[in-house]
Amino acid sequence: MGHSKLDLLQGTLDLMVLQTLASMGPLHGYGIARRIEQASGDAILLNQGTIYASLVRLQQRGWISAEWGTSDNNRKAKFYSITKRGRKQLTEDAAYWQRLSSVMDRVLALPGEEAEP
Amino acid sequence: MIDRLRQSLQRFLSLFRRAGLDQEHDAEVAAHLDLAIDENRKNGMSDEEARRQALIRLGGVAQTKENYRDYRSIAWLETPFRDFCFALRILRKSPGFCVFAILALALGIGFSSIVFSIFLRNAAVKFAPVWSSARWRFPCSYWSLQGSSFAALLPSPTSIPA
Repeated sequence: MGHSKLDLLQGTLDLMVLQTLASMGPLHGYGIARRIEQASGDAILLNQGTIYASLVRLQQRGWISAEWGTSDNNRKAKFYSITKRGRKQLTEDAAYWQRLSSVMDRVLALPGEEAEP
Repeated sequence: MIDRLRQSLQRFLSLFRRAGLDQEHDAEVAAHLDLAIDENRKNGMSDEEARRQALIRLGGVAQTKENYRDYRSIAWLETPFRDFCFALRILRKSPGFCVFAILALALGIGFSSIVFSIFLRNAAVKFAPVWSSARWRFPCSYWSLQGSSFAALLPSPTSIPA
């Protein structure tokens, strides 16, 4: 592999977790970590343990809720689901990231010096 | 803004439920490892390798728990709070010592305040510009002569000119 994996920017993991829960429904911590890894095509560097720091942050802000349940293969696990306030926050944050990334695209698309006549 | 306040409040409150929350998180991390090991086994790894890979992907059990605790509560408040609880526990274990310590502190503080309030009163008599002016009939030496008695320290009504 020529390229190393991407480090996550501050705040991006929270948004990824919210989006994953919004699209997949209730999931346990391991499930969330795996979905994010799969969605990113294994391009991001994710210590699965950091998911739990993100989950506790989101829970304390009231954006997700948690309860214990049983997984498909009969293991007890804590399942997280997104709340109404979490969905609202997700809409706001996603719009922000889209704006930011389109600005970055435009700035980075400026021609380099050697391309100038 | 409200969400941030709510988060700060939750982090503060979590100081009082540390044991329960830690236990719950321990169970959660254990469940995470079990799920990862199950999946690795399904992909054809040996038991040992499945566990090893699960731990690597998690990034270590101790690190995960520590990271979680850092975000859950207020780190700079947690240590002093823990020390305070520890002190209370120890004191409860030896009530005799506890009573003695509280009495010693109470008496010490009480006596110090008495002595200092008297000293300050005396000093005020000596140094306060108004009281040392000509209108004040009792010279300071009077106080030092009578200083051994508390009553003498109180200005008698006759000392203040009408």
